[in-house]
Amino acid sequence: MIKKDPYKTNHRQLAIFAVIILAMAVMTVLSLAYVGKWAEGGGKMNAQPYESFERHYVFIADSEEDIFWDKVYEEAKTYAKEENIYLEWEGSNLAADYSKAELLKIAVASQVDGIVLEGDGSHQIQEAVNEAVDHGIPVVTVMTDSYDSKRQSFVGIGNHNLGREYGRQIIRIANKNTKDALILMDTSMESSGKNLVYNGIRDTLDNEGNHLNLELKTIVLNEDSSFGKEEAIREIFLNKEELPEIIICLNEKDTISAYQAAVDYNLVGQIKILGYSDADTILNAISRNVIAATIVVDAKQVGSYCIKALDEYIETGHVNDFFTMDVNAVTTNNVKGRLKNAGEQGEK
Amino acid sequence: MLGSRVKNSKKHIFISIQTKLLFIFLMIALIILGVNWYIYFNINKMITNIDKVYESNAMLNELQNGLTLIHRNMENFLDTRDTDAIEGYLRNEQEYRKQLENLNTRILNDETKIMEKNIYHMSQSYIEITDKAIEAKRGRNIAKYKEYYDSADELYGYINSYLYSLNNQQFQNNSENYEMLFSALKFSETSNLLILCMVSALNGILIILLTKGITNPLIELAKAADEVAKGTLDIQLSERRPRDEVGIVTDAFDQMVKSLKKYIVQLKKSMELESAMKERQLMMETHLRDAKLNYLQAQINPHFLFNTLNAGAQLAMMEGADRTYQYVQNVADFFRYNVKKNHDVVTLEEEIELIDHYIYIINVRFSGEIHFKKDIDEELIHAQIPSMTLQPVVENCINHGIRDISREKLIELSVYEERGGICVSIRDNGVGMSEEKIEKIMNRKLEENDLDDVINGVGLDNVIVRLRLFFEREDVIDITSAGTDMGTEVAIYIPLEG
Repeated sequence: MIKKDPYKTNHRQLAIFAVIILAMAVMTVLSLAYVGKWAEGGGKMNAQPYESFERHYVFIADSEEDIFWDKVYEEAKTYAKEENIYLEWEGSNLAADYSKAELLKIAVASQVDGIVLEGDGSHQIQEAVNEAVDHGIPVVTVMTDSYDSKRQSFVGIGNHNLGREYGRQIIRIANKNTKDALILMDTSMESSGKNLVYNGIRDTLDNEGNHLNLELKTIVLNEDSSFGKEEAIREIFLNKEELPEIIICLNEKDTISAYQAAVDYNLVGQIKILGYSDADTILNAISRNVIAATIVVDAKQVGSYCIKALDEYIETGHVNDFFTMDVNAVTTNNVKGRLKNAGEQGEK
Repeated sequence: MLGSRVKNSKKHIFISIQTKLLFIFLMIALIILGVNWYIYFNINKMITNIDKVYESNAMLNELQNGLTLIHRNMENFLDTRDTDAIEGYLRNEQEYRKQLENLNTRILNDETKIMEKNIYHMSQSYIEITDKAIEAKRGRNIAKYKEYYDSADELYGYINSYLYSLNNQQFQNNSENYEMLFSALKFSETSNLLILCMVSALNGILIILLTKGITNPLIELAKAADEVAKGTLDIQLSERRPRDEVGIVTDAFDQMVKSLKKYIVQLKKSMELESAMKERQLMMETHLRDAKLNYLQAQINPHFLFNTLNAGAQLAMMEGADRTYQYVQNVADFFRYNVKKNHDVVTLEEEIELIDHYIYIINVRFSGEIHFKKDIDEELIHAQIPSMTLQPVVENCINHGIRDISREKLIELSVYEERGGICVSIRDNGVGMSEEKIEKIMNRKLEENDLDDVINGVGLDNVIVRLRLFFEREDVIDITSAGTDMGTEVAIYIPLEG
């Protein structure tokens, strides 16, 4: 009498064994696959599929650290991507620091399809632009034009317009007792369009602000040494006897320097700052009433128009000589919405 | 039956243990081999990847070297118009162009790729200009070649800068890649070890599971054999058997146990049959004897017989026939004894008395030819013996010993003490008995026929058995004969009581 069929008891054992074996086999296969993936991991970077584009434009601007230019570049790049164009910030990856003229030469030698350039009034730039155009590469200047060059188009705010906006803001913050306003100019003033700003302010004050007895002064800040401008601005604040009541900054750096000096020398309230650009620091300063107003250009509009202008020229052979961008003033009244947006953008 | 066997044989394809073990070994070997191959493949791939990491840097360095050589050769040529320089220039230019083919020329959204494209185009422009410079130098156009040289030099600077920057950037990327690959390699070392351990464990379980299929039936068979050895034939082996040698052995074992069972049942049956037959035979013999006895008894109503014999005796006395009276009286006494004491234990004296009666009766028949001598120790005649023991012996002496002899017929009866017992000796001077016959009588091997002539059914054989049973010993009787015509002596040994 043999007690049990040995095979019968084995059924349960068999099931348990089968489950264990299956589990182990699955684990083994999974870990093998995992290790295999790890092995592939090294090639992952190379294997990443690149997007291919139809055209290659370069973007040449002086001040890489400037938030405004960052914005313009990003917006232009985003817009370009939609148009199947790759926009490269020329020189940003280079170890050497090249001037805009040199970068233009590099762009020409690199046989790019188009150039977006922050122009200036210098002769070298004018020559470099002409050389590029001679090589069949269209050039669009942005914000600052290169006069008398063969550039195809200019995308800018129109310095006269800018001047008028500054003028309006001066009229808004000044009263009869306001004696003077100081405009911070830079060295390249004569040749660039910045004198148009001055004219714009002048015209506006003459036409709309004849009730004011305001003296409009200018000071040319020396850009020769690296930190010369910042020191020059501090100089103005230190000389308390000649302290202007309104100070007008035409770029972001000057605005921040002026604002910082006002805070440092405890002159908030005594001096009214009119700034430029919508950097977070500046917007915050406006919300705290340290800066009276700032003039803002729509970076998105600027960026997209640069690409549009180049596209139009390449596709049709001609393009508008001049694209005017909108200029807006940000004051304590409308700063909140901007700050919120900036915050959100920052989060992104 | 046949059909099912065919089906069975179809279902059970024979797979030998050797094949099974080979299969297990191959399977395990394949698994380990496969896993090892995969691991080796992965490691190899990783190492190849690591080897390739700085490939791009090497390529850029080569480009830079090529460019420098072109530039130097051009400078040399412009300086000296050296033919070696122009040769070097052309050779390096070709080399450089070949190297340029490795660079990306498409517009891709990767900074390094775009830089490669820029380098490619700048190099093309550069070579174009240097070619022109060399052409101008050959044409002795001094102003032109100087101008070309300047712009070539400028471009050379830019390209170098680009190459340097790209090299840096790629080195950074590659270092990251290298770091990652190296950590992947390190990681894979531990994970591979883990995987191997896991696979080994898996193989162990597989081996246990697969060899169980071989060993389990063996264990079962051994248990069954144990049971059979202990005497339990009623074992039930599992119906599902492995299709290998063990299966065959199990089948054979099963068959053997079944045959054993069948054989034992048959043996039992035949034994039962035999014993039943023996019993029947015995019964028949007993019944026959009973029948014979009944027949004898039915023939003679003892009372009637005695009365008749007594009447005969009285008649003889009245007629004055004394001998007839004597004879009839003896016959009556003899039969009375027979009827009365048939199954009882009697004294030796009574037995001797019966013999006296019997001899008297026989002598009437034999005309007094038989001489009967008695030599009896009177002290011993009270010993007890089974009835009807001496008379058959005497009858046997007459019938087989002295009946047919022509000389004087003599029977001697002596009772004496011997070796602490009583010896009753009955001796005749008849034809004697052969050793063979004595042997037969003593060992109770007489045929039925040999006993048939016993008058009242009590033969010598019967006497011997009864004596042996009564005294519970074997040596109660001894028959001796000196040879033919030398007579026979039958000695009965009665042990003294106490």
